[in-house]
Amino acid sequence: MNFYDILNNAKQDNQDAIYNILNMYKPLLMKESIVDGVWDEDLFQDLILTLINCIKKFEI
Amino acid sequence: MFEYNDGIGINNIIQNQFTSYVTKSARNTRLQYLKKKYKRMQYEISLELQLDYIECDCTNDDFNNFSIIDQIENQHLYKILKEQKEIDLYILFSKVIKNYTFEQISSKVGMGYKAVSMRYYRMIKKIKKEFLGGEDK
Repeated sequence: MNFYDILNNAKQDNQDAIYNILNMYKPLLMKESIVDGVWDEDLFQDLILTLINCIKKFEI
Repeated sequence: MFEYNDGIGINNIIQNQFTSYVTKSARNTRLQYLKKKYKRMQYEISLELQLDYIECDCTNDDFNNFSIIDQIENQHLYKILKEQKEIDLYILFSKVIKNYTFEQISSKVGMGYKAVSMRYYRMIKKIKKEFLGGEDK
């Protein structure tokens, strides 16, 4: 399954597809949630919400 | 299986666009989060210092109500409290922040127990009324 299909499924609230995309972008979210060398869990949670929002809002 | 994204083909283009969208959104979220966090930390530290100051001051019975009011973030509540009398604020903050009993407050302000409790409950009622019903005005 290519990225286009996964994203399309995720946009239709397919849990597996969302989980798949979350796993794909996890390194980016981990990187962005490090503040002053310390991993901030609250920020990480916020970023996950942002990613889910992005999936919903992104127009294919 | 890992596939190299060379930016050619609709699938790769969409993935690149989505990645840049997520990256930008994540950076904005991070910025907003940090701004909020530092703002909150600023308030927390200053309030802590303020409470230390009040702690010292209370031994001299010199209670600076307006410096506490200045710490309040909610503009509506701030406006309501600013309009109240100094003595009412003293009673309110003594009870709420310092956890004094009505007997202790009454001996400090030189009023009766009943008068102090009446003023306190009237104040609470007034704040509640203005805070909940004030938005229509």
